[in-house]
Amino acid sequence: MRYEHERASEHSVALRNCGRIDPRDLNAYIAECHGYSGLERALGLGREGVIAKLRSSGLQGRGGAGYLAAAKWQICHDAEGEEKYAVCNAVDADPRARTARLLLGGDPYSVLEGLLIGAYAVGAAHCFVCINTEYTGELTVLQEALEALRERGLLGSGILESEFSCDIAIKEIAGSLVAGEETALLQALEGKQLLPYRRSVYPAVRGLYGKPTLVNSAETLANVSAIFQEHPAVTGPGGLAGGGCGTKVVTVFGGVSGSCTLEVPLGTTIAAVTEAAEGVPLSDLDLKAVQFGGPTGVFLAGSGLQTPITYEALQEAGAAMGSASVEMFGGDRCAVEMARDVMLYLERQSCGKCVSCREVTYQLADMLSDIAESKGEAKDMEMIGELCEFMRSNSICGLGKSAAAPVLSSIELFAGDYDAHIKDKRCPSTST
Amino acid sequence: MPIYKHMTKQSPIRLTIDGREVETRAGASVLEAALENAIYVPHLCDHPDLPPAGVCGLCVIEIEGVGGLPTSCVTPVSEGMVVRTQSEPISRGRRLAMELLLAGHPVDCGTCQKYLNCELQSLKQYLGVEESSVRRRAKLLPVDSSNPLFIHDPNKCVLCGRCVRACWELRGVGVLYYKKRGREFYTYTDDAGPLAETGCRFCGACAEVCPTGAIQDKQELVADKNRKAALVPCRGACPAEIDVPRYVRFIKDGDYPAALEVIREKVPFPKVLGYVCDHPCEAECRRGEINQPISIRELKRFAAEHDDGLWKQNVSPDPPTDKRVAVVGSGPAGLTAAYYLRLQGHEVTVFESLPEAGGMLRYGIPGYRLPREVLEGEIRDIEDMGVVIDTGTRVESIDELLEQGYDAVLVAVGAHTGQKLVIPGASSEGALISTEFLRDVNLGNDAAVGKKVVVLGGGNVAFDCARVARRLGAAEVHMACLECRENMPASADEIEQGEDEGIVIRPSHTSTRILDRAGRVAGVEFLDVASFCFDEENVPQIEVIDGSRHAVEADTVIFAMGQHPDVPEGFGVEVTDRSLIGADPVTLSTNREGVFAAGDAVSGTASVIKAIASGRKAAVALDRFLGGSGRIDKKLAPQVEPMPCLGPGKGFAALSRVAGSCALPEDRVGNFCTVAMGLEEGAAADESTRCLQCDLRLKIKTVEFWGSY
Repeated sequence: MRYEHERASEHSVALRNCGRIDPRDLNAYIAECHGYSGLERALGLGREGVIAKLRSSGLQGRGGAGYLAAAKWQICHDAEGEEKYAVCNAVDADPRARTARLLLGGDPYSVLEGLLIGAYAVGAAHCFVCINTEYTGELTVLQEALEALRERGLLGSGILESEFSCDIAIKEIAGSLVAGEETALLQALEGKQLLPYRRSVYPAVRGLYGKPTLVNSAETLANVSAIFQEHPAVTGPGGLAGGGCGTKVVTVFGGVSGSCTLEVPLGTTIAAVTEAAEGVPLSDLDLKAVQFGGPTGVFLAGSGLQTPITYEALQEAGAAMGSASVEMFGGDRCAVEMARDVMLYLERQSCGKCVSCREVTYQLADMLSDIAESKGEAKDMEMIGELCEFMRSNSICGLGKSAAAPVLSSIELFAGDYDAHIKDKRCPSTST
Repeated sequence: MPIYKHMTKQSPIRLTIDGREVETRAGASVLEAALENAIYVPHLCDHPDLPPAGVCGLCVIEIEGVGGLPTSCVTPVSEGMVVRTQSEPISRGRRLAMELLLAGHPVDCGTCQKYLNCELQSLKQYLGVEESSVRRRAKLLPVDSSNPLFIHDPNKCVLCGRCVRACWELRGVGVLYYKKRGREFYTYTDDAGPLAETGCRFCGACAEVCPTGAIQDKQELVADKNRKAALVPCRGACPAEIDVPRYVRFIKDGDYPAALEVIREKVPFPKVLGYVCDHPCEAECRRGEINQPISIRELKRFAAEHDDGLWKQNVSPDPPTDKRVAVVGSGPAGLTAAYYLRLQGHEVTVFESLPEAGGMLRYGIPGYRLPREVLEGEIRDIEDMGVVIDTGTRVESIDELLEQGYDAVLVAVGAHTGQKLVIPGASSEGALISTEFLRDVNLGNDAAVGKKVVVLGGGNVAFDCARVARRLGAAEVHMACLECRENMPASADEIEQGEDEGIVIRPSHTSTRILDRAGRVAGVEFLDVASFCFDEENVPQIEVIDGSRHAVEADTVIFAMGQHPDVPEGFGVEVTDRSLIGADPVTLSTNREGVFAAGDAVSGTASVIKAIASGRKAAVALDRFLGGSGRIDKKLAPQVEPMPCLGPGKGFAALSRVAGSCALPEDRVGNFCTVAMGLEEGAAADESTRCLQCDLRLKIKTVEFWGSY
C-alpha cells in the first residue's frame, strides 16, 4: 500500500503537511506550517467575520454532500441555544477511503485547528473528534496532540488570550458505513447505538442532546485551517482563494498497484486520477468500469470515466462525491457479480432500522446472487427496479437512499451481462 | 424572551385531508392530524407515546406540491397543506412496504398468542396483503424464554423499533438494541446477555408497545386473567384493591404521608395491616419472578408509622342522611363497614359483646404480633369520625335492633367458635380450644399451660396458640398438622418465627387419640400421613402409613382446626351447613331485608385484609340500600402523574429484598413484646426503589386498530 501524498504536489491542501512534519511535534506545526495562525486570524475576525471569510472561499464540505461549508456554519451560528457543539467526523465510514486516518496520523493539528475555528464561529465550547476504533496508532497521536494543545493554552479556557474557551474530547466509533451519517454519529455521541434517524431539522439547528451541532469531516476542517492560515496552496493559482475550486482527496484501488490516496484539484477527471494512481494511460488499464464514491457509488464506464471530479459534474452524471474513492474493475469482470458483491456488502452494512434498506438490500442480494448463478428470471429485473425505487424514496438516511445506485447504474451500463445470465443462462465473462 | 409568550395560544393549523378541511395543533404530524380527525392512515412503527421514527413505510401519503410519497408520521403539518391518504401509488407503496415487513415473518398467525390482538395482523388485513411479490423466508432464530416475565421471539420481530424507543426514549433505561444474527435483525440486549444483567428494569414497556408477538408476557403470568390485574398483580391480588404501586412510589419519593393516604383511600387500618396482613400481593409481585417480591407489608407499616395525621383534614362524614345502621361485631369487617358508612353520612353504632373493640384483632391475634396501642389508635380514628362503639353489649335479636329504629343491620360477628376433633380423650382436662385459649389470654384471664404443649393444626391460629404457649412458660411446644410442610396453611414468616422460638413442627401427622392419665391430658397419639387432600366434595382424604403409630407426651393440647361463627338464634338469618351465615356473594345481603353480613361470619376464618375487603363491600351494599351512591372510595393522596422515565438500571435486577428485622428469639419468648421491628427509613427507601412500577405500563396508550375508525 502506498500513499501518494508522500510525494505531495504543490496543490495539496488537506494533506499539505502529511509526511512533511512530525505529526507529534506541535512546535514544528507552529513554526513550519503557519500553525495556529489560522485560529489567531479567526479570533481577530470575530464570528461573523470568520463565516464571511469561509463563504468567500466557497469551500464545499468535503464529507460527500458538498454543501457549502459557510452556509452550514451560518445555520449553526444563527441557531438559538446557549450550548452548542462542534464535531469532527474522522471515522472514514467507507473503510477503503482513509482520508481521516491519514490526517489524524499525519497532521492532527491542521484538523484540530479547523475544528477550533468552527467551534469559535458557531459559538461551541465543546468539541468531539469521532475516531474509528481501529485507528489505535492515530488515537495515540490525537491524544498527545490534545495534551500538547492544552499545555500550550491552545485548548481550554481563554485560548490565545482571547475570550474563546473550548475543549475537545475524543469519541471512539466502531467503523461502519452508517458512521458516515451525521445523525448516527450524534446518537453514538449520546451513548446510544450508532443508528441514523430521520431528521426533520439540520443537526446544525438541533443535534447532539438537541443542541445546535456543527458536524464536519476531518478533510473539511483541514481545508478550513489552510484557508485561515492563508496557506500558499489556497492563495496560489488554482487554490480556493486564488479563484480555483480547491482540491479533493481521492483514493484509487482495485488496480495492480494496490491502494493509492492522492489529493487532486477539483475538476480532475476520474480517468486522470486513475491514470495517475496506476501510472499508465487509461487505454492500457483494461477497465470494465469503476465504482466512484464508495460502496453506494455508481458504476461508471466509457465516457463516464471522463467525468470531472466536482460535486456538480458528478451529480449531473448521476453519481455523487461520497467518499471519493475509485474502485477499478478489470475487463474480465461480470457486471452482475460486481453488483451482487456490492449488494452483499451493503446488506451487511445496513443498520436494520428502516424496512426499505433492511429488507430491500436483503432481497436484492438474494436476487442478484440468483441471477449471477444464472438462476434468475426476467421478472426479477422488474422487481429489482421496483425495490430500488422503493429503497431510494423510503429510506431514512443517505446510505439507504443511495444504496440502489450501484445496481441501477450497473443494469443501465451492462444490460447485456444481465441478459446473458437470465436469457442465455451463462456468464458473459467466462467462456462457459 | 417576550414575557407574554406563554400566554399567546398558538393558533391551530388548518389543512385539507382527503378533501376535508381539518384543524390540528402546530407541530402535529400529518399522521396525527389524520387520526385525530378519524381519518385512518395505516401505521406500524408510530406510537402515540413514542417519538416518530418513519421506518415502517406504511403511513405514506401524497401532499400537493411535494413529490413522491412522504411519510406522514414524520411530516409536520403546515397551513393550507393538501393531503391525500388514498391513491393507487400510495396503495402500491404501502403494500410493498407490508410485503417487505412480512418477508421474514411467520405466515401462520393462528398459532401465535397474539392472534386477533396483533397490530401487524390487523394491518395485513387492512392492506389486503395475501400474496407476496417479494421473496419470503423463515428466519429460524431461536426463541428466548430464559428471561423472567417476557418471551422474545425474534422471528416475529418486524423491526418497527418501538421497543427500542420505549426502552431509551420513554423509560430512559437503554438496554434494547438493534441486533443482527447471520443475516437477520431483531432487537435485544447489546451483548445478547440476559435482561437482568444489562440494567433492565422489567417495566414491560417493550412488551406493551410491541405490535406483534415478538416480545410477549409469559403466558403463565397473563393467560385467562384480567389485563390490569395480570400486569399490576399486587393491586389485583389485594382484596381491598389498595393501589400498591402508587404508595410504594410515594415512599420512594419520600412523601410518606401521601403513601399513607393512598392506603387510607381503601382501608381504615393501614398500620394494623402493616403488622399482620398476610400480603397476598407479595405472592403475586412480579419482582418475585426476578428475585424476591417487594416487602409490601413492611412498606405499608413504614408509611403508617410516618402518619402526620393531616389526612384527617380531608376526611369528614357527608351531611347526615338520617339513616341509622347497627353493626354487630367490632372486628375488622364490622369496623371497616362502620367507618365507610359513617363517612357516607349515616349514623352508625357498633355493638360488641366483649369488653373492648377489635374482634379477632384483639381477642385472636396476640400482642407480640399486633401491639395493642396500634390497634387502639386506629379504632380511635374510626370513633373520631363519629362511629359509636357499644362494647360489652351482646346482641341477641335483630328484631330488637330494628325496633330501636335502625334502618339496616350488618352482622359481622366473626368466627369465634373453635372446635375439637371427635377423638377419644378430647374432653380430658388440659385439652383446650384455640379461640377460647387465645381469648382468655387476651382478656387477661388465667390461661395457664403445662410444660409440654401440643397444638393440633397448621394455620396461623395454630401458630398463635403455639407461640403464646411458649410465652406463657411452656418449655416444649409441638405443632402437628395433616399437611406436609410445603402445604402448611400458615404464612412463611409465622413458620420461620415459630421455629426460631423453638416450636417443633410435625407436619404430615394425624392425631388419633388424646392420651390421658386420670382424666388429665398425658399426650397425643399420632399416625404419619402419607398423603392428604380434599376430594371433590371437599371431604378430607387421608392416607396413613401403616405401623407409624407413635405418641408425643403433653400436659396441654390445643385444638386449632377451624372456627365458625356464633350466630344467636334470634338473628333469624340463614345459616349454611358449614355453620356460616348465608349471604349473597355480591351484595352480602342475607335472607332478611335490610340485614347484611360480612367478614369471617360469612367466609369462615380468612384473613384481616379479606375481612376488611368484605367490610368495604358491605358498606357499598348498605349505602346503596339506604339510598346512597355506594361510592365509598376516597381521594386523599395527591393526584400526581408518575414520571414515565425510569433511568438506567445497572444492578437493578440484583437488588435483594429488604425485610424487616425481628427481635432475637431469646428476647421474645418470655414476653409479649413486638417481634417484627419494621423498616428504618433507609431500608424503606431501598426497598421501594426495587419496585418494578408495573402500573406505569398501563399509562401507555393503546393503538387503535383500523376497525375502530
